[in-house]
Amino acid sequence: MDRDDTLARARGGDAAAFASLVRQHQSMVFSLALHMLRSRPAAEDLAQEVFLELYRSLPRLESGAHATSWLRKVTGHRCIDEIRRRQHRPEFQVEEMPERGIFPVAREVFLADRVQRLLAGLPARARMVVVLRFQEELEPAEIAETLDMPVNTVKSHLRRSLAVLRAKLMPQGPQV
Amino acid sequence: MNIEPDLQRALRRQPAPPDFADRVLARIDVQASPASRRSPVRQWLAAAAAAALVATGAAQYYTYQQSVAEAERIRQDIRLALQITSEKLALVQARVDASLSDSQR
Repeated sequence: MDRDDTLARARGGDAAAFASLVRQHQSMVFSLALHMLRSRPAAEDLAQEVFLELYRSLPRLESGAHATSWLRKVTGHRCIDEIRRRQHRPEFQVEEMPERGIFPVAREVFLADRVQRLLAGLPARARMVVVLRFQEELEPAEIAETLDMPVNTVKSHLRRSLAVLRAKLMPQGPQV
Repeated sequence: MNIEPDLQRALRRQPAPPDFADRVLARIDVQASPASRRSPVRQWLAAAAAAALVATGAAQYYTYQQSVAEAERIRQDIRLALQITSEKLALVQARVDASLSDSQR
């Protein structure tokens, strides 16, 4: 059963098809929320709200691809609103994270955590642009469409965010 | 410094929590309007919820029975341990008594 067929059946009231639609997209929606909010319970709550809205919006969705882009758009806007509402801030400074003299596997874990903490310091819209670029591998034009912003603004957010992240991730001295 | 691979690794997709889709369906059932209560979706969801409740109840009953059996097994172990200790103490007591009576002679 392809995605268009699943959507058509869900629109017709088939709960199993709607459940299938949720399972097809739950990792994307949950991960976008998790990378933006950095809290699993908050990410799950937001993702559930997005799928409830999807259920109410089924009659307006035309295809499986439309459902995917709709989910990205709604999740993106909800995440930005949620961050602005809560004024999320990093829990503690990145300088506290271990950096040198650790095993490669541990380094990768710490690096991922460090990148996420640095991302949390970016403004909400800039953060969403980076998450859509690197989690979903969207092109700037697709991000612009998703977040309803000009392509040049997306490129500007990406350029400035990467410069900030690069500067903060740059090694300060020789590795032990 | 090329940080893009690090960003891709740090931001790769994570799996949603287990039973995420079931929880979404349960919320749809709760929030369904009265007009939709007789719809096939609602009937399907009610049947799924009932099946989930039965399964949850059975699982909890099974867990409870396992706990009862485990408690009984522990009780038997403690009883056996006390019995062995009691026998050992009786043996020690007998030896002490014998030793005392020998020294009094």
